[in-house]
Amino acid sequence: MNRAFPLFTDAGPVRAVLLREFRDALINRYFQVFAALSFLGGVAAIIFSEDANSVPVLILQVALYFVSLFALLAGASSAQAERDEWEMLFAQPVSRAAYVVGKFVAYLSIFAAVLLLLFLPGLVNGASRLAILYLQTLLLAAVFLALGLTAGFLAHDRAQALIIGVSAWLLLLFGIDFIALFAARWELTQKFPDLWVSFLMLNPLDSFRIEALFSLEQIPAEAANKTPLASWWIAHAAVWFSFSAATWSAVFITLSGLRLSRWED
Amino acid sequence: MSATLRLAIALCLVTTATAATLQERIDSAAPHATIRLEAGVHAGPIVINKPLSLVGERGAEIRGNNKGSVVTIAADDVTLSGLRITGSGLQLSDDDAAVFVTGNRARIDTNVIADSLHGIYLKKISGAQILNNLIQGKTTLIAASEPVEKTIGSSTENCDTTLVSNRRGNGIHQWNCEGNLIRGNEISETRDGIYFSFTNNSRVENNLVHHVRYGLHYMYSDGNTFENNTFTENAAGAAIMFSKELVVRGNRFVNNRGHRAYGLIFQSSDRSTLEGNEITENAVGLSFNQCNANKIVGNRVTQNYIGLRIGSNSDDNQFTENIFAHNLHPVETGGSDVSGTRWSVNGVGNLWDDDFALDLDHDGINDLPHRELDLFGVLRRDFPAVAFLSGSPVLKLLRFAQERAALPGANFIEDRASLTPQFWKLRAQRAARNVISSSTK
Repeated sequence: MNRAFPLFTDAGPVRAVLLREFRDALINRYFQVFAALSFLGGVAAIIFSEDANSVPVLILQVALYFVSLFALLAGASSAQAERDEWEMLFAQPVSRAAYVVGKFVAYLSIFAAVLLLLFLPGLVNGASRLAILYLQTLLLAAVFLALGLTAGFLAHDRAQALIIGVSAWLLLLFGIDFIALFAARWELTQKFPDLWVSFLMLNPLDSFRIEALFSLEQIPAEAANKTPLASWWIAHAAVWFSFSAATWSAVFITLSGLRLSRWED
Repeated sequence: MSATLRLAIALCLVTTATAATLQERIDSAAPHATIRLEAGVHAGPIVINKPLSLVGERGAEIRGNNKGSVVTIAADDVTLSGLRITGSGLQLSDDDAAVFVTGNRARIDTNVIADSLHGIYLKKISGAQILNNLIQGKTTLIAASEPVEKTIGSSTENCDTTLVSNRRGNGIHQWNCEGNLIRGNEISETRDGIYFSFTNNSRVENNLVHHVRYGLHYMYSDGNTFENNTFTENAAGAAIMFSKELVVRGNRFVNNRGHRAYGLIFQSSDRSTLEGNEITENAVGLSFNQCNANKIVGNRVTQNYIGLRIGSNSDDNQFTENIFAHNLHPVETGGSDVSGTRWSVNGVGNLWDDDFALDLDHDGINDLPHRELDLFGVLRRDFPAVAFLSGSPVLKLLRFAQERAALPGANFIEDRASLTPQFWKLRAQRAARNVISSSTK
């Protein structure tokens, strides 16, 4: 039986994976493109914003569509990078969790650096609220990195990893809200609105959007005070999103570790 | 008479003169005289019942006794200028005000009004000019309360308590007036900034109203003009109700937020023109309900939670050359029938920022109609939690689909001549070319 999660007693392999992923990222064209697009996105947000206050709204759009997808693809691609060498790699007396966590931490650090390119132009312009949005976007990237890793580890090959990953992304981006929009018309849903609200709360993309739009941008919350859960969500949108993102990241990392553990079996 | 006696009499007269109260000076002044008030506090309340000018030197203040109005203008042709006026009563039922006007053609300019219920109250008059005053509402009351620790002493202590906005007075309050001019005033911390009721044919220009409940609270008043005013950071910018034939031009309704805050709400108001206003960063930018035959031209409705809310029983309203941009929900119809509204006039519609423009002949007018979808419709009322989907990617996706083909059962408005951002530039170029060609002919 493999050692699945003796992580904290075994930091050496994590460090090794981390260094390897950093070196890989430096010459990875995918990340170079991501960095360039991030910077262009940040500049575009300034150019196309009417004033400094609307910069976060435009960056929110970039984060919703662009950062989530890039993080997911990066995770899936990274998980598949050594797919053919797993047998040899896992013959080493190290934990599988170290391998997963190493990849996750490495890519999250790289995203933290690259996302600065997206936010820096706005920060120079004096939009101080962007600092909070940066942290929230990084948390969002963490969720989708972890989801991408899970998709990559679950799949048999790179194509399957992409299909699983992109399907999950489309479901979270459009599917959940599409279902919610239709469900809002049902009498049963209208009778139990908190159930409907909790359905949205579980989606990290919805949590991120609500946090950014309703809290960060101080857009008046039309839905607030209508139900106890709705008021709580509006009042604690940042706390909920941070908790939700951390939980989902942990769940996906655990799933990835379990998947690798089962793979050898 | 000896010199000493004469000196004593003169001294006595001077002393009597300087000791005269302000009211006595007013009473003894000839009609159309000018009384110059020296720096310092002059006791109110006063009543002006003849035409005259009361002009304050720097630092002159009329302070009321916290009962009734401080200055009552009961005669025609009175001027009140350069004064600080404070200390009216606080009885809403008695219409207490810093300046209470019942005389025609009053000119009230460059005063500072504070610590009062209503700022300037105009009642059944005409031809008043209210110019360049600074009006700050009373926000706190000195209220008696029990001592913090009763063992310390038996006397009561004074402490400030907040005067909620509904208990405050209005900045400038008009009732049953005609032909007034209100220009260049700054009003803050009052209940409503400028209040109109049964007041016609007046002009309101270049005023700044902020941190009040309604910037402009307006009803049953016709034929008035509002130009170049700014209403910002109020619970609601302006509420215009039950009126007709107004001109609302070049005003700014900015950052009026709150759960039910509006930039500009039009309710049961007809045959008016809204032109060139900026309506930005409000909960609801522009709202129309039961309004007919209004012209809405060249306004910028941007960065609002809901850009335009248009309700039922509104007919023959015309929207043209307006810019709707960066609103989270550009249009809300709430499921109402808005088929009587025209979204283009003489082939010129409006600019919608998410329009998928196709302008083959490059005239600045899109060749395909623009459909603006209201996906929530009646759900806003039946299931308010649906607002959590605001800004969702799925709404954008459905709006994109709606541009291609009308979705069955969805509420939407259709602008058949929506504009491209280049429209104004192209029109200016065409106009310039026409001028040149006509001049060469």
